[in-house]
Amino acid sequence: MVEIQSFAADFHIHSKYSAATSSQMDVATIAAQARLKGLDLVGTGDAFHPSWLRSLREELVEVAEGTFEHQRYRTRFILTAEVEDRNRVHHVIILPSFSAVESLREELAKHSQDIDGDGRAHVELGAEEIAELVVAHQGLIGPSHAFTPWTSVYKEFDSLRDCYGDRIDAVSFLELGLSADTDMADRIAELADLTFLSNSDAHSPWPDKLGREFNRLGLAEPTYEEVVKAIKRRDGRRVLLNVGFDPRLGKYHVTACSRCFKQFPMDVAVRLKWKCDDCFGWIKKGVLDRVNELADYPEPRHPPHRPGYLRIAPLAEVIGLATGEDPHSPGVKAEWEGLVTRFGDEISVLVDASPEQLSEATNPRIVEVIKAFRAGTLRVIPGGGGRYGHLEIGTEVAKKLPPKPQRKLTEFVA
Amino acid sequence: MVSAKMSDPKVWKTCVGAMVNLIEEAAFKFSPEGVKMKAMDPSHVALVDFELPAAAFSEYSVKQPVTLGINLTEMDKILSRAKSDDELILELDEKMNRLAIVFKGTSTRRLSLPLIDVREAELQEPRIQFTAVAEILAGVIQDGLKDAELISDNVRFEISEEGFFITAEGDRGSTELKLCKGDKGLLKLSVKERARAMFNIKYLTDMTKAAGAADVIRISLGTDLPIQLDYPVAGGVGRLRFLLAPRVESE
Repeated sequence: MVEIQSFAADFHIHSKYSAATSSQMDVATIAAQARLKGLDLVGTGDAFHPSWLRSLREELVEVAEGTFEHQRYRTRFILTAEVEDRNRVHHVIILPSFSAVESLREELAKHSQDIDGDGRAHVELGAEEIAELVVAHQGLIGPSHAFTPWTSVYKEFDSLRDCYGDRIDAVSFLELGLSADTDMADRIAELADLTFLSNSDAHSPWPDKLGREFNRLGLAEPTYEEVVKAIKRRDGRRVLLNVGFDPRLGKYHVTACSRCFKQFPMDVAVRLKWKCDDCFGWIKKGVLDRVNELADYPEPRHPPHRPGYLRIAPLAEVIGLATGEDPHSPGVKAEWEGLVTRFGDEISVLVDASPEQLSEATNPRIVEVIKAFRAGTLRVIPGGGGRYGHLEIGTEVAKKLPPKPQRKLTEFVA
Repeated sequence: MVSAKMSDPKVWKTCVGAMVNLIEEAAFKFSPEGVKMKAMDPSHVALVDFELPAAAFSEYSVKQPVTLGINLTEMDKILSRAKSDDELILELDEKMNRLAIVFKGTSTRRLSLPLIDVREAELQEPRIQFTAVAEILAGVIQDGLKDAELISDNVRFEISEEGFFITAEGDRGSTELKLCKGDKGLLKLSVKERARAMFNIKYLTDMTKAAGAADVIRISLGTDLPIQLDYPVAGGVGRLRFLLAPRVESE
């Protein structure tokens, strides 16, 4: 009897060769940060980009079929990429080998102007044709951030079949995206049989981005073959838990202006013909409203195979909320490193460590804010139009907090 | 028009290196008198105040005051390409809205940086009545911070008639760095009233790491007040000043 264990995996990231990404998205930094974040497996992202592919070949060692390891940090990688189709719909692709990557790349290059230049290539093919090619290369495909308003399957189509046509059978997962969760997606009947993935789509390696969403998989070992079984729910392998943002923290949760971020009820946005009445920017339909349009059920109907969804927020943001500092400030970084080093990974701090253990490791204010986060008593200000949602400390929680340990210079202004 | 030339790129490089960990984007004001930049970090915990007069440059030509928004992370990367015997020239390319950074040595290398819009929020500057001042070799402070970092995230600075002290305490032990009057590392001591306050080590490390071990840092302190660090720049012609808010000491 094979023992099934839990492994954390983030399958969707981008390298420094994709547009608008950090120059520090290199193999070693991703491997090091993934270890701190508690990720066992990371998708390489951008596998079709020639320079990135060269880095992957040079810096990783194949430890099992389709499974690559960074020897210093022991982070494992599987080969993944994201492509944009002719309808500007994004798809995540998972592939079994460098030879499959190269062969598929060659096919896609016939229909792409930028496959050598951008990590996320635009391909002048429909989703059906791309799915056909992926299946021919023994890969897996599924829609990226399925409900977002710019580049997702449901911004363009009302059903997966409309997008993938006769190759709907090739779709083996759906990526929820930061602004949606299982409760939202399981209001749509056609998604009942699909495995949901919660991935970060990280553009930088820092802890509030890489692994900000991830999947806990039940596998015999962290390998490509086992991952495929888990996504296809075979031989007892499966996704045990989707761990992701409270969807209200995503950038596109509610309908809002993409220029000034003013939020609108759906009927008002329709009446305004999707033009902001303040700044005349375009209003983008929020994921919540899009799901409401598509929903077959008023409440989620989870199929028996569906794992739970754990709503989290980046620990750096929770610490920053407690100390009053920016999540990227040196003070927050120091606290983050101290806690993660002590408890092993970020989720252990946010979810598992007892308040007593936390009290031994950090200041009382951070402990109280983590407790409030767990109890769901922090206020969530929803995101929309491209601006992330954020957490706030409500009056009730604020009353219980000890004074901020880090003072601000503005307190000393005469 | 902006064109500023330095025979030693280290001066500009050191200053940018000290700012970059605190502030990602900065508005540099170039005027006929020189260059100034003042900004707080996004958390309002630290302030950077930089001044380099025209006299610090070997050639300096700025006709009209102009503010240039610069991504410090990108500028720092470019400056890392400078060689020690290069001359550094900063030139505004108004047409392209870029700042050219030219290294002139055995060859002439021209790298350019797009200018960015930096919102200049009105800076609310603290006014602090410091009660003690010490001038200390940067290497001594760097050593004290490195020791303290082994056991804590925070460090206490103290200046008294006896001297200057850096101490840290934690579950993992304690550290103390002592500089008494007459010690080589303590160049000047002026105390109206004994002063002590606690600070985050990471901020202080970022603020002091760009200094050479032999540089002199002037520390101004008041009890539970922000600390002020002053570096002389370009032989004392210019100035790089940091202010850092204290942490509340737990009981």
